[in-house]
Amino acid sequence: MSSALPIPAAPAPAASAPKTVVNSPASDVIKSPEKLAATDSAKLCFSPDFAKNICECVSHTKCLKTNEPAQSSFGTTMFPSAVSAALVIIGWIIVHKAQSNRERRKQIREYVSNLCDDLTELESLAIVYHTSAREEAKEQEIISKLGRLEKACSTLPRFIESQKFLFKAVKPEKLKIDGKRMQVLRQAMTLNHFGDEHTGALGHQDDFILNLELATVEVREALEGVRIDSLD
Amino acid sequence: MTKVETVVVNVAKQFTKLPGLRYIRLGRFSGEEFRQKFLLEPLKQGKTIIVELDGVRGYGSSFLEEAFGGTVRELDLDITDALNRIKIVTSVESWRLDVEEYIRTAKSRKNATNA
Repeated sequence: MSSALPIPAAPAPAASAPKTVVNSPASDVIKSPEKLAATDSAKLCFSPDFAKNICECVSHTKCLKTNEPAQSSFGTTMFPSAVSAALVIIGWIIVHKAQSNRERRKQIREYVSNLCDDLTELESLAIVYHTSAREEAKEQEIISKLGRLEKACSTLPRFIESQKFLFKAVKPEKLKIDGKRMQVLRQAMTLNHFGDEHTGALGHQDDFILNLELATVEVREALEGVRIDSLD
Repeated sequence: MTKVETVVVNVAKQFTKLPGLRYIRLGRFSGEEFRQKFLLEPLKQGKTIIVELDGVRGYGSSFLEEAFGGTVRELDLDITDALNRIKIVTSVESWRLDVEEYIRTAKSRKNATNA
């Protein structure tokens, strides 16, 4: 097509150049063939027909080389436009995705922060329960809060489940809290010295309480790990 | 090849959403009660049990130990056989790990108790 325009052999100098302004996209540049003819290069190769050809060719209505009406303007106009549009869309998708991931990571951090608070509350509750006289209400509360914490931890990977392809906000494996740590925590709080086995208050330095605190530390470390992995 | 019959037990739907403590004497919905109502009979009949743990408020370890470990002790099941015939379905990994551990250690807990 007319994407590469060879300059034809210089025709005879213009005898009388047309004075009409060509109605084309290039008309702002090529105001009139007369002006073109005034330049040195134009002097060499300008004629009324050539000027007309140039104008038609620039406006994509005629092929300069073959002097035939242009069959299609895709090569000169549509292709560059399509590439530009595609680049704009791809850029928009990347920016949108990055912004969405940033928001998702923020949500994860807030969620984990709340879980840490719940864990702290649960630890205090369990320590008070085991270091005081038995209270059945506290047993139910511990089971309930523990269950809620376990379920909340197990739902963490769901934050990115809706992200099906590339550019996940966080790697899925980074959101997984080791089930073993949760298991140890629950055993430390509810397996022994719980229910009718609660025969009396334990001391704060009792191994049972120390194990409970240790199990809490392990879970908190796992949660902090998730929070750090969810930083920008 | 004989087909092993399977029984599905959903704790939240068939038992309670608020599991309690270890023994019946400690209150309603205990691990002991769950074991007697849902686990012993099918296992005695040679069936496989699928226990769905989700949908409840939470479990105390004492509940799970008494329900599952207690079943192994009461029926004197072989550990491998028990692990094959008691399947746990849950989205909370720590519950599944806990049950499996109580099945594995049921006999040693019994021994410790006897000792």
